[in-house]
Amino acid sequence: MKLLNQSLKFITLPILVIINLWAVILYLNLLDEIKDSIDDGLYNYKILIKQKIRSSNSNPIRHPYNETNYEIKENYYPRGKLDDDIYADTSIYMIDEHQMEPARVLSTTFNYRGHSYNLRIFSPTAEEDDLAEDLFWSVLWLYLCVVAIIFIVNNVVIRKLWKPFYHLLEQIDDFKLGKHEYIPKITTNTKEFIDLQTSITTLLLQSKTSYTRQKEFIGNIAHELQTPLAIIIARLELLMEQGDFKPDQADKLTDVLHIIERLVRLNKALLLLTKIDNKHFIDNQHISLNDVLTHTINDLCDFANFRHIDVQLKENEPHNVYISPELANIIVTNLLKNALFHNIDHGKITIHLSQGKLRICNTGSDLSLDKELIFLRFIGSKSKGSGLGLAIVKAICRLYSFHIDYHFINKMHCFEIQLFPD
Amino acid sequence: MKILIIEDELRLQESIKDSLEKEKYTVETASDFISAQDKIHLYQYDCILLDIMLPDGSGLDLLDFINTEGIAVNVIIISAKDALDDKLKGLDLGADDYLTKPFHLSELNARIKAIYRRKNLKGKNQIELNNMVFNFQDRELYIDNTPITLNRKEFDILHYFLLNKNRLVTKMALAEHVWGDHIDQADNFDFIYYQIKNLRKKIHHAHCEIESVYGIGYKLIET
Repeated sequence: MKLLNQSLKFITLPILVIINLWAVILYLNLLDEIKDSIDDGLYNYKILIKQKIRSSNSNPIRHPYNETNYEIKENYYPRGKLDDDIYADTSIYMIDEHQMEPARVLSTTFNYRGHSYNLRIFSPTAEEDDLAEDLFWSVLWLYLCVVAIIFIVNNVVIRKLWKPFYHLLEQIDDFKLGKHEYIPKITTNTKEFIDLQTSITTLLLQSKTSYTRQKEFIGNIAHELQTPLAIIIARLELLMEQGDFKPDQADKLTDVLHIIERLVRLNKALLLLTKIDNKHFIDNQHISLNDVLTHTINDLCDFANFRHIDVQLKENEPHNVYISPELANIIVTNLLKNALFHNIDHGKITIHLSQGKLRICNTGSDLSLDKELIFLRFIGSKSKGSGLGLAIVKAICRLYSFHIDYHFINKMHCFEIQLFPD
Repeated sequence: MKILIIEDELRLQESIKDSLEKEKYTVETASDFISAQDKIHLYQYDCILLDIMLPDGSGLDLLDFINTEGIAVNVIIISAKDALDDKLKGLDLGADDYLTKPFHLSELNARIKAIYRRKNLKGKNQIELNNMVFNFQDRELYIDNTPITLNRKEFDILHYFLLNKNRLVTKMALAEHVWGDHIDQADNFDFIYYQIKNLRKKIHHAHCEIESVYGIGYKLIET
């Protein structure tokens, strides 16, 4: 959930609490005000009533539930001071409602012609439950409106404030170490965003430097290894030539030579990877992939025949690729070599070049390869090759933004390259 | 043939010298730019093996020097650098070939001979060995004057052996020479054995033989 809306979560509770508190206080105040008003009215009324009684000569006794709303009863046990006004809450029967409703009552006593009388004046007051209910609904609507407004304001108005942030995010997304290394830049006055940009810039620049240094380092090491390897091979070959070895001595020497040769291949592959990563290959041309395919199949046909592997070029649509010739050769060669060397005798290889995709499938092990691992460096099944063949293909694909994929279909291992940028 | 090896790594220099002396060449060495320049200036060589990365200068400048002095000599650059730019630069400056370290001694040998044949023995397109005539220009083989048909790869294999007569050719070196970078995985040695077997059958009547050496390579010897 977006930050704007997340903060909404946290603010809704306090707002709820405050609004409820406010509603309660409002309610009490309203009630109070109403009571005061009514009490004032009652007092006024009391005066009018007393005046009327004094001016008329009739019996002051009055019953409630007449058209008047006051009651006068004779007080047989006069006590206390005169004119003690007592205001209280009570309920009176309301005809229209057919039930008792809350009211305010003013009780007082007065003397008239030697008798003491209790005077009680009633006035219906606000129906508290109705008032409460109305207030509840109003508060609820208020609450919902406030939340809605905050939501709208967040998403419409404040979005503008966050624009630089999202712009920065976009640029960070686009940043690709080794490819698109444009440092994100935004214009903003918001301090936090400026700070963020500074931090990100520092971080990315550090990454860039570290990455470049790493590549150089690997390249330099591989480079340095060339000469010692050359010496070892030369020495070993001369030694082998001297002859006069017992069979097991010869075996041991042979082993060593093989391992050194493997080291050499590994080193060469590593150097190639470094060159690809370093964007060494800039001699892009329009290459006919069909030519490369045919050429490579030819070169490898001896080996294919030897293993009795059937190589079929099933689809060969004309297809040109804008790529360095050397790299085009490497992609096709590595894929075909893998297809050959990981195959079984009397196995099969099918090649499809159509709709911008190159697909090479081979028979081989019965188990599907692990898609994640095979493209990583140094992972190879039983291959005694450099193990970097696929990693090199992947590096080249990454350089040109070609997408490469692996599927295990119908017991065939299939590698497919999409020969146009994503 | 008189050969000058310009290489600053002494152990490598020694190994190459040993190998070339087996071919009965006269071999001299230089380990840095100055002494190399002196030797080139003072003596005549048929072939120079030139390492570009010298401690006190670039081998490419030596090439320049050779050009400006108008010295006629075959130059093979041997370098750890595999960059296309360097290769092109070297060849542009007049080098005859470019060999990347590490390389097989048999490969170096083959290249030295190939260039020598091309430039110094003009018109001679064939190698003769006892009753065998190997014409590498027309790609024809005659044993006792009978033409023998070889396929393309068999031809290249035999050529390589002839250039490295009596020398050990490892399976690796042979594979790389004939099939290039395509074959570089260990389980192909049966494959090479198979090719050799076929070739042996075909040159059965020649007075030479392809001998197996400890399972790591072969040697073409006269019989």
